[in-house]
Amino acid sequence: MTSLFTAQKFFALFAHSESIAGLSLKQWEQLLRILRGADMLGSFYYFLQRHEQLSHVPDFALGHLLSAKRYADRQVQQVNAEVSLLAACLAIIDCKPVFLKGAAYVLNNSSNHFGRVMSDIDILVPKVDLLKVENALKSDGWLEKKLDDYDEQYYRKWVHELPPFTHPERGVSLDVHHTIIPPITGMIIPQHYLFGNKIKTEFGHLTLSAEMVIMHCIIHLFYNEDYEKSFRDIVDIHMLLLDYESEHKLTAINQVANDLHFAKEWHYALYLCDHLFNVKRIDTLSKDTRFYSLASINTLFIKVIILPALIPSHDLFDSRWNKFARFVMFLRGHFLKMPLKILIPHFFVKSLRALVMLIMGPHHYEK
Amino acid sequence: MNSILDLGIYRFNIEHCPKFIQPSLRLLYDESVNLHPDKPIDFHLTIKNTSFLRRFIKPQVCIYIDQQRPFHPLKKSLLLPSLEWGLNWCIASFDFNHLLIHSSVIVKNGKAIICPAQPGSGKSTLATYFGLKDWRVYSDEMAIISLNTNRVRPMHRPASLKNKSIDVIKKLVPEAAMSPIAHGTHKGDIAHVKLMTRAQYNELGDVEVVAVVFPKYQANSQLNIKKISQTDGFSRLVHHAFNYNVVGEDGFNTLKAVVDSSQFFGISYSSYDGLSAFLDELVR
Repeated sequence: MTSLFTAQKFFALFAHSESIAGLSLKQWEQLLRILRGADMLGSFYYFLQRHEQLSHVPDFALGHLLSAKRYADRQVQQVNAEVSLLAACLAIIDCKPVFLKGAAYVLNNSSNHFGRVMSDIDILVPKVDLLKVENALKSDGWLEKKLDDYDEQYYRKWVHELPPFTHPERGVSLDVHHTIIPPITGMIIPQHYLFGNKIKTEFGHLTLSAEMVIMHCIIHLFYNEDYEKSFRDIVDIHMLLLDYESEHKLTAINQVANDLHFAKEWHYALYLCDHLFNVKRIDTLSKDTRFYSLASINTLFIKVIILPALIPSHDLFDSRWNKFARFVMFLRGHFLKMPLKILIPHFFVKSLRALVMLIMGPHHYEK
Repeated sequence: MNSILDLGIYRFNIEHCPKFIQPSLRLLYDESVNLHPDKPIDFHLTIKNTSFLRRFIKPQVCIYIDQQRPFHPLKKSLLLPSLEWGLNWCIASFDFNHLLIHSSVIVKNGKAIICPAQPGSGKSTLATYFGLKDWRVYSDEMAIISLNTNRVRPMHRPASLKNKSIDVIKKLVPEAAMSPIAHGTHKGDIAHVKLMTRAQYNELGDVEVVAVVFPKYQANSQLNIKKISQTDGFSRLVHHAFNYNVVGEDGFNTLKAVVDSSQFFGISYSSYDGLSAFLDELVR
């Protein structure tokens, strides 16, 4: 099928929402497919609502957007309920979890939570509590996802995380973290950045500080290896920054980024937001002498690799270059997360297992 | 090639739709195939080969719905039933503008009876039989009820029969237009039956539900009809409504409206003769 969209045209919708008025029905059809693939259909409804563009949406498309909105609205209710249940479960062992990512956006009522869907709830607990938390969750009916031996070892030994949990009755997945970046990367975040300046939300639940919520989102994007749906992450970052700017100065985040040695990633994120969403944050910040300046090779990397990798993965969009860019980010993500002495055996084991599954069938390692 | 299936409420595009199932689609969907090529499409399915080698040895195909692949790869001969499941999957996964109840829907005199039931209870066979007589089948699989009007909406689709039902219908209505049987799906043998032409479908409108009948086919049994209270009926409908947990308050209000306008019955039967008079009475 011929694509009626270019990535530029797609990106332009987010910088100039009024341009949706000119879309034909066939273009809407393709836009909906791309947004659905990127998990952004519900968010797009709220995006258009915020920019007062819903009246320009044809009935055909509005039906799909409303349906996705309804689904996302219900998930907000579900997240609120799950958060209370989890907090109660962990209160028994005197542990107050810090809610991360999607759940935190809901609890903080951040602009980006409207219409946003998530596949799991993420919590952060002190490392010393991990074992207690694991037991408390299990006795509350949570099950650890069954992993094969190799993946289990991957989680416990290298990522220092518990395997994901699911709740069979409530159909929810839960990730338990003790930090926001795998220690294997060599990046250590001092405890007081995580547990020191938490936000207490309306019903007493905890999230990271406003600065750390944004830093976490940035770290998540640039230490990721799967870029198929990463456009949503940059939209998250932009919207969190919009919320933040309305009350604080960006220099405070700049300070945190410098302290934690993520100044480069912070600049990357701002560069991408400026480029995609028609804002000028870098201009504002560059007056600050402590703002990290990118080498021209880094700028080239953003333009040639990161931007193409952020284009949502869809048959209507995928060019060889986009796929290549995503592959580069895939390798980069792995390389950042694992030193070579672990990465090479990891790829070796994974390739060997892929080969075995090719011969013995895809379910060979399932228990 | 691309094939459009226009179900009335939803429009599907099937990319790389292989030639060999075109005759079946034409037979079952009539003029709904490739209808209004310029109108926008709601959901896209793409059929892909799994590997180059597999084109020649034990051919396998995959159904993609945009970037997702909800089902395992399958033998080419099982494509038609899987396509039908693919359509259901799209509706159930993405349409939260309607309350969806796992149920067949039969209509006469502008009044609908919905028959919610577990797979294997005979709801499709019942709908097929009456659809081939003088009823209209709005769906043999799901009641699609508007959250705005609380009325059930028609789809132009064939009914799907499993295993013994295929022979039952062949025997009772030998002239029925039926697709070739797909042998050995995970639900057994499957055949599809055409229940109306597109022109007949175009006559249909959204209608009110007047009765809810929970059917149970029981070999060699007498017709047995049991009245069910509205309270019981409500909770049993919730059980069969598969997006009830998502559609929230609107879903509750719609379900309540359906319950208020309906009588509820549990029936067991082994022949359709006595059943006919009973159902006719409900829509008089």
